[in-house]
Amino acid sequence: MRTPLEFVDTVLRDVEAHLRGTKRTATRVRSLLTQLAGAEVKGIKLPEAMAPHWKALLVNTLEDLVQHQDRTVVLFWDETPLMLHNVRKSSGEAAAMEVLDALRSLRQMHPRLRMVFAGSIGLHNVVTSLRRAGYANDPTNDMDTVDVPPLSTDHARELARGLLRGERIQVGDLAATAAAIAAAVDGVPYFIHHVIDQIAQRGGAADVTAVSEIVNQSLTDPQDRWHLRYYRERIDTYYNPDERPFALALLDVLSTTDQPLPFEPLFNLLKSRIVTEDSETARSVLALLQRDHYLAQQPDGKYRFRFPLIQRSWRLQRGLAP
Amino acid sequence: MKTSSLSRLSPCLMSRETLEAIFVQREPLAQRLVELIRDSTLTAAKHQTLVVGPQGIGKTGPIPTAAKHHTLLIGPHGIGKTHLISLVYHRIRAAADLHGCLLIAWLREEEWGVTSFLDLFLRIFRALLAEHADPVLSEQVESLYDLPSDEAARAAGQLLKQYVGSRTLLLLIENLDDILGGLGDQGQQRLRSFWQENPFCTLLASAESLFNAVSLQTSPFYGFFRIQHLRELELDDAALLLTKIAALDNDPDLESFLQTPAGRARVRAVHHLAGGSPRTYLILAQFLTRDTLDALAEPVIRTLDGLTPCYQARIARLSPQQRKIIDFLCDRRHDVLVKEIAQCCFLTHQTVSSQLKELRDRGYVRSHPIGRESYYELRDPLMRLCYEVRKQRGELVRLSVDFLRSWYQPEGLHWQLAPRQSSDARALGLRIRDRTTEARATLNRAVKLSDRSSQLLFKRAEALLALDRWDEGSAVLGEALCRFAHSDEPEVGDTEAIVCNVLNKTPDLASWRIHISTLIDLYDRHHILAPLGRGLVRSIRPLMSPLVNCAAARMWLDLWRQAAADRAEMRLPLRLLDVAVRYRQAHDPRVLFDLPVEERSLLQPLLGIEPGAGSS
Repeated sequence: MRTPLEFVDTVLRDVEAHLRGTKRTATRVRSLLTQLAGAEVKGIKLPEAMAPHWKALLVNTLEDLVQHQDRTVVLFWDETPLMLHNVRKSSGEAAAMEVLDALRSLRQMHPRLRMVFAGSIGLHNVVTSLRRAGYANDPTNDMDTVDVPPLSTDHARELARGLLRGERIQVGDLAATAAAIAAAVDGVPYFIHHVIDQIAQRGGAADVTAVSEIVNQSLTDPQDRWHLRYYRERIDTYYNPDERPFALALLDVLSTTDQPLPFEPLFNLLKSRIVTEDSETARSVLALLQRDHYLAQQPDGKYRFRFPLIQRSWRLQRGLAP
Repeated sequence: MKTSSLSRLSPCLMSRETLEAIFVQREPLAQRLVELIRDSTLTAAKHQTLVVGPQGIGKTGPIPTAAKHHTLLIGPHGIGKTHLISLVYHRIRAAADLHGCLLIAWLREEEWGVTSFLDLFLRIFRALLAEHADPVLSEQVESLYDLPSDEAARAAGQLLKQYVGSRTLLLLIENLDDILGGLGDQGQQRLRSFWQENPFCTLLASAESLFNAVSLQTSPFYGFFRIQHLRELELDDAALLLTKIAALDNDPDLESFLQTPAGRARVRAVHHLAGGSPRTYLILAQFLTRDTLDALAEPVIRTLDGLTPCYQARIARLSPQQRKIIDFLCDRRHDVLVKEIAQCCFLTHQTVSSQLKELRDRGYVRSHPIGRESYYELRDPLMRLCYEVRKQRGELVRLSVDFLRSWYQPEGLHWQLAPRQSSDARALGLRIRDRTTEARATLNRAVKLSDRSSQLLFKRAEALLALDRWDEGSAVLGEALCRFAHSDEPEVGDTEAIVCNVLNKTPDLASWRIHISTLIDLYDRHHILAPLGRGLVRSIRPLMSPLVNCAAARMWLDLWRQAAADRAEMRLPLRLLDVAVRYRQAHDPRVLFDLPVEERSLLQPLLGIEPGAGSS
């Protein structure tokens, strides 16, 4: 989705599909469409001529949904920040700002309408870029932010065991192999699935050695099936030109230390890579890197990579020695 | 008369008093460095220092040290590294609490020929003996020459450790990159191990730029030093430095002029061109009097001449291919692509790319990536300006300085009018636009004014031009210029408003042509084309308005070019106008790279572009 109209189009289709299930129709929005178009708008896709009226269409669509409910309606939207990022790129900052404001306004107008935004990039990335263009609002201050952590050790092992069994993979020591998988990928379910998928494709028995081989190969896979290069690419996409050299240098530094670093020595090592005395930008980039899941700050204030797997990957991608 | 206490090129030759007298911007840093040295000397085994480095060098955890601090100052040539080190040296020597517990060895910039661990220690002994004459030590050092080199190296280390004893050795090392480079990987490793096992040294070192021995994570000295990048002087610092030098040189006239808006405007013009290198201002100061600063061009050209040997020495250190590239960039004046450099220097693309990378790492060039291409220019525009002075006998530089002198007007010189005059001046004000009847009435009232002050005369001219009374207006303007352009307090009118009037008010092409020619003739007659050029450049902002179409903008440029073709003072403004019009048409930031950086930075704000964005 790249424009507000495309977003509204998708919402309308989903709402109408839901209402058909309860033998209802989205009468308000269809009536509005007829009024705006001068004739009944048939078909699924909203015509481009409706673009200037997307806000009214969105409001009417969700009102159609809410009015027929006697329960709270929860809308789940995946990759919402990415959608807003695309809207910003295609239609400008103003359009992205209006989408956020419209959604917030809808939540205020309809207390039984709730929204869940999910995304692999943080909404803060989009809002920050909008703020630079003059956007002053805080469009999600009525929403709670939940960081979805990796699985706990036990759950990661359980997932690995379950998948190994489910894929009917021959395993000598199921517990040890599952534990190795969970540890090698820091409990991240996405990578657990990948490891087991590759074990299954390889054929043969699975053991701790095989797990280690698969992870090592994946870290240097020229096809990048684990999409690990994304961690590098998103620095260029979401960090502004002033922040980028800081982000890259800080990650380079932390990828090559085997112990967490407090700010001062970290900043000093940063200065051995880039010409700067700007500690404030360094601090704010560290905060961004934490929010974007690259880094974690320990209770003692020291910084480290959040996931050892990503630390290894970063080091390899950047050609840095351990 | 200038005193001779200032050494423009060798701060280490200056007395402590002189160093302190002209020290600007870095007092907190100097104090911090002294404190670190004091802490290193007086505090033993109190702190744990986190040591980060490659395998085998303390990587596995914090290592107790004797709280020795090591600082590396990084900054380009002329930024004031030696001044700072010299100042710290004097302050440390004067610190009574450190007497008896601190030894000092100062390895100066000229410590060439260090190619081994032994060489370095022999230099350290030489520096120690220069500071603390000791015949016994001298004899012991002499005896090292009788030993085979490996044994001498071990013995030198032992001797140093023994000599320092329970004291701390402050090592001041300039051009650390040269010294560590000379040691090579093995020598660096050995040195690092020696200092780790024998932590009696505290180091204050300097280098022109980051170098592999401290920035590569596999190098022995990665993470060893506290890195401190020295920044250039801001405008206020530069003005303060010149003021302090004027005071030291016992020139109260210059000193007081520097504190006026006009004096500050002159410094601002210099700062625009020359940046914030303290050495530049030290050299400039020797050519400054109140009058020469006001005129500006001559001291700037003489400064560039004074800087030329420094730049020649820097260029001489480069390889022939690199020198060729630098020479090409000097000649081109503006940013260029790699392929152009390769073509014009008869080098392969790969060779040029790799040489540019090294030149960039060493601080000679800067790149501006746009898309997949990178444009390169000299990082230090003064290097190019020195080249221009030699090549064209300073003519081009003189024109640039004159333009900047006009561009940076003294701040705070607003129309200081009495209340009656003020209200009439407002009535005469240029933004009359649609209030023609009212404007005519107030103008007639103003015409009756008996006061013929310069401001009113110029304002009257500007008002007449704004009311499309071109012939009258230009006559009054001519009169005003005649009377006030070269008076004791010269006035040239608000050229931006005058030019904008021509842009906005003139109804047709033929009139544009006539009006532009008239303005050029008027200002040229009084040899003050630079202010008119300033007005033309400042009119670029309204020219970028969507109300002016591209064809009109192009015609505007062409007419000015035709009218001013043979006037050297208009070349720079026309260059800026040309790039602005091209940018307007193409919206391609690359067109700005046709300008050298000092001209580009004037134009970017007028086009709404952040200056310096995208460079590395």
